[in-house]
Amino acid sequence: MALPTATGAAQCPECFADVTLTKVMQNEITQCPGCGAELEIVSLEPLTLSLAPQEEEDWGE
Amino acid sequence: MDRAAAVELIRGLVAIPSLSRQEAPASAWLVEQMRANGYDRAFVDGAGNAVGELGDPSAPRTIVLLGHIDTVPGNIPVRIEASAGGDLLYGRGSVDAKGPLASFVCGAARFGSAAARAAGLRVVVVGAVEEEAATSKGARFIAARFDGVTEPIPHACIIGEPSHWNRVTLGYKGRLLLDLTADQPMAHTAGPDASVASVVVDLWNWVTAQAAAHNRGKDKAFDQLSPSLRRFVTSTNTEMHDLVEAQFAWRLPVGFDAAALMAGLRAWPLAHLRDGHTRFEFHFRGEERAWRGDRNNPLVRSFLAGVRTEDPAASLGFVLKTGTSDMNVVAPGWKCPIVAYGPGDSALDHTPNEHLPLDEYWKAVNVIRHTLAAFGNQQESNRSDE
Repeated sequence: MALPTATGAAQCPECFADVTLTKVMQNEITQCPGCGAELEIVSLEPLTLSLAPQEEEDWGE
Repeated sequence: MDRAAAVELIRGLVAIPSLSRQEAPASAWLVEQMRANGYDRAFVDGAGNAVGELGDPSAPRTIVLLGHIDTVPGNIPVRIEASAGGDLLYGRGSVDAKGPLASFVCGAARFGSAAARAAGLRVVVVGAVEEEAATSKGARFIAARFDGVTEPIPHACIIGEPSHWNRVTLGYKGRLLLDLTADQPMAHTAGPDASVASVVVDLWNWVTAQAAAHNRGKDKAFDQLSPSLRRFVTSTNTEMHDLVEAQFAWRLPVGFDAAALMAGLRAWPLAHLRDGHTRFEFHFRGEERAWRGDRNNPLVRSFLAGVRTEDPAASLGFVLKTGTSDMNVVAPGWKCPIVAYGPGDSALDHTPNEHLPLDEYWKAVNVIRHTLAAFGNQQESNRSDE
């Protein structure tokens, strides 16, 4: 069984530009070509983007 | 396994002292818990690790959940205290890292053998010994077991370390330690020769200058070369030599050439000391390469799905850590998707106030369960980049 993917366009939540997406998977991380924001595919139907989790630094272990 | 059973498991595990090299009672107890909670196989391996497995031994894919069962010293009475934010479990190791390990054991038990078999997945949960001892004996044993010859290299690995239930750690810096001794014949302090102490200070200044040059333009601590002076002791021996015994340590960024650094240090006396009467002995140890995993792989996607399944409103985060963990031991050889995960605040690691919120622990148990389910569903990819 192949993993579900989606192709289409979704709006960048940062700059509101339409982002064209090809064969993307659920929870994949991509980048808005307009503003450079890192985005996560949070839904395939309908194709929906949210800002990707931020990367932080921490000490430990 | 319900919440009460999961809480009893972590409380029982924290209640058994398990300093590095004294893990045997805790490992034996945890293996019994794994057997009682539906693991297909559970045993203490040749290193003393507690190992539990779910799914067919010859399943097409293997995921290793590598926690550690040893703790640093510190007698914190084991107790559950109520607080405004919910119950808190106090005890040495509740955060570092029996909380993460117990969340692996319980989350995998809740995922279950039948689900593992249906997904063609072997889930291997390990409570490794000697993570806190810097020998990483348990992790090295597991790395050797899954070396691609004895057994296939895992398809994914989760390291058990605390970073809160809603954050995923992608990488750790590397490490290098140097114990050095410098000595030279005693000389009058009014004389022209530099003291052995000032010679070693010159060497240390060279080390920090090298780091400053490497770090130019690098803003993130994770990307920087970070030296620290751990020890500096002067003395005079019975053979009338002045001595310095010192320890330098480095936190290494990804891709750093530690061999070149070591060669530069060994060459420093000849290149910088004209008279040659200072003798150096360098002993390098504890070298671990830094590792940083990528964010677009089936394991990270499964974690994002797992956290969102547990709480759709959760604020997710990725973390890069400036310390080291067993990720540094297994990742360079396995090169598979790898993250570290576990409930708890790592700022409480090794402290007298170590405690774990049990609500957060239970969320982490469920995130592990959901993540394994999502990873199990990612049996195949229809894309050519994976």
